[in-house]
Amino acid sequence: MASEVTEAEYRQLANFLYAEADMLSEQQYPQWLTTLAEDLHYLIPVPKFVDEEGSRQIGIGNPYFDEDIVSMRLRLGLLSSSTTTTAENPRSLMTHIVSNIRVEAEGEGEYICRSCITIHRTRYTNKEPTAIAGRREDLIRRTDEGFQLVKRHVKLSQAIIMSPSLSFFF
Amino acid sequence: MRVNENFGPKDFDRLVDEENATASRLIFTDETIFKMEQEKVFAKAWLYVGHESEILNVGDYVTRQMATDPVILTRGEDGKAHVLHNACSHRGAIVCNKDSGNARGFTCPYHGWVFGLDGSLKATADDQSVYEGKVDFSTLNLKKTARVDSYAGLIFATWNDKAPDLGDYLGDARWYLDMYHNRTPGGMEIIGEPQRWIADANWKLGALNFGADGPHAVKVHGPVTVAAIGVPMSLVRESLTGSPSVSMGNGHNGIISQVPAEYHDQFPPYLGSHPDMVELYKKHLGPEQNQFLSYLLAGVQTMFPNFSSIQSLMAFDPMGMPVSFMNIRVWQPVSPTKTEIWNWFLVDKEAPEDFKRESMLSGIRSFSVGGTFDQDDSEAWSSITRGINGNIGQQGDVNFQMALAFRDKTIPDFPGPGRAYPSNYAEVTEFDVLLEWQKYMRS
Ligand code: FES
Ligand SMILES: [Fe+2]
Repeated sequence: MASEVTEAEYRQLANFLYAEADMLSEQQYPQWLTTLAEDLHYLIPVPKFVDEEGSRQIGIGNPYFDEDIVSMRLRLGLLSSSTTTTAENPRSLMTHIVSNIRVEAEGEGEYICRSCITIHRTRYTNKEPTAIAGRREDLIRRTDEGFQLVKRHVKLSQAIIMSPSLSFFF
Repeated sequence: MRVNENFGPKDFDRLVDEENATASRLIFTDETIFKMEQEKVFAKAWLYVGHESEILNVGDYVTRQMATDPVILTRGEDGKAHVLHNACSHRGAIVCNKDSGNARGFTCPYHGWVFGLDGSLKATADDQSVYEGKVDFSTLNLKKTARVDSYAGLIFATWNDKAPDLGDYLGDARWYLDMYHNRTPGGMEIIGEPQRWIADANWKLGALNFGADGPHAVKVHGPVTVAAIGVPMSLVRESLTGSPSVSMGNGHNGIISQVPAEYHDQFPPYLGSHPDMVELYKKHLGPEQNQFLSYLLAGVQTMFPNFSSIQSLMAFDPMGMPVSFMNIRVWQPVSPTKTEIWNWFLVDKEAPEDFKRESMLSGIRSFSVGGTFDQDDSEAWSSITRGINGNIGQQGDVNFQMALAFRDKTIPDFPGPGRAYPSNYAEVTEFDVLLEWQKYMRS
C-alpha cells in the first residue's frame, strides 16, 4: 500500500533521479545500466487524440519503447560505441531536466516516483534544438547497491516526434 | 535555377537521366518540383490509406494523410471503405480531429454541419429551408476520393477518376504483396495505431531506400544486424550481393535478401516465423513464394509512390531466437526537405497472441523511430539534405550508376514475375522508382 515517505527518503530518491538525468544526457550507458533492475519494464506508448465517447483500441499497441533488461542491454551496447550507431555519432547534445518529483512508498523498499522530464536535444545534422517532454511514473527499488529502476512508464505530450530519431532515453 | 522556375516535361528528361543512371539533386530540395509533385504524382497515383483490420465495423474510422491533404478513412453503413477529404465543405475546418474512433458521422466543430460516414451532408447550422431553395446541398458533401480499393488487406485510394483499377496498378507486384501480406487464409491484422515522426529529408529518399538500397545495409545496419541476429558480417554482405532485386513494373520495386546457400545448414527454414503459420504459408502460397520465404532475411519494397514494407527478423536477446515482423510505412511529403513517416506493424491474424507481441517487440526495436535501424537511416537522410542544399550542392547529381553494370543482367527463369537482377547492390530497382516518378512528372 502506498504511504508517505520521510524527508530523507524523498531527498535520496530525488538525488537518484537527478544523477540518472546526468547519465542520460551524457550517454553514460554502462553506468546507467547498473541502476536498472533485472526485472525492468521500460515503456513509452504512442499518445493519441481520441474522443472520450467513441474511442476504441486498435490492436495491442505500437509503442516507441517496450524494453526489458535484455533488450535494453543490447540497445545500450549499440549506442555506446561510435562503430555501432550512425544516429549518435557524433553524440547528440542533450539536457535532461527532471522536475515535479513526487514520491510514495510502495511495500518493502519500493517507491513509486512520479516526475516530469524534458529533454532538450541538438544533433549534428540539425543544429536547431528540439524539445520533448513527458510525465514519468517509475517504480524504484532500494537495494544493497543503491536504488534501481524497476518500471518506467513515460506519457509523452506530443503525438508526432518532431525529430528523426529517439536514439536516447527518458 | 532554384526556386520558382517553371519546369516543363523536357526538364524532367534532364532531371532524371535514364541513360546515365543519375538524377539532379534538385528533385530532393526544390520547392517548385515539390508543388508539382502534389498535382502530378499524389493527385494521380493510388495512395495507401489504411488496413482493412483498422476499420472492421460500421462507423469505425481513422484519420490519415494523402500527401498534404488530410482525409478520413471510414467503414460506411454500406460496409464499404470511404475516404473523405477532412475539410468542411462550409468553410474548410477540419471535420474530424481525432486519430481514430467509432462514430455515426462527423459534426464540424466550427458551425456544426453534420456529415455521414460516406461524407454526405446531413445537416447545416440551421434548418436547410432557411436557404430558401437557393443552394444545391447535394454539391456540399465532403469531397471523396475518386476510388477506394484494397489488395491483401491494404486499402488504397486515388483522387484520379482516370486511374487504372488497383489490381492493374499493382500488376505484378501483387505476387510479392501476396508473399508478404497475404500468407494465410485470414490475412494480416494491424498491431496498433501508427507511430509518426519527422525526418529532415525529401519523401523520395525513403521510397528509394525501400525500393531498395542494398549497399547502405552493410554500412549503416551491418553492426546492428550482427548484434541483433547474431550472424557474421560476411553473411550480411553476401546475403545482399547474392540476392535478387526485383523491378515489379509501374514503379513498384524491392529486394529479396536471402540466406546464402552456404549458410543453409546453420539456418532452419522460415527462421523467425511461428511454426503453425509456416504450415499455413505452405498451403496458402505457391512453391516459389515459399522458397523465398523459407530463407528470407529481409524483403523490402516500395509500392509507387510512397508506400513501403519490410519483412525481416530480429532478436534482441542474444540467447533467444529471432522473431519475424512485418513493418509497413508511408512517406508523407510535408515540404521538399521534410517527410512525416507513418509506421505500423502487421501480423498474421491466426498467429497466437504471445507471438503477436513478440513480433511487435522485434519490429519496434528495429524499424520505428526508436528502432535501431530507423535511427541510423534518418540520420543518413538528414545529412543528405544538409549536404546538397547549398548553391554548389544543388548543381550536382545523385548517383545510381551501379545500374549501368547491372541493368542488362536480368536473371533468366526467375521464379517470380517482373524483371529480377542478381544483386541487392544493383541500384537498378531503386533508380526504377525515379524513372516512374519521371513519367508522372512529364505528364
Ligand atoms: S466550417 Fe464546418 S460548419 Fe462551418
Ligand atoms: Fe535502412
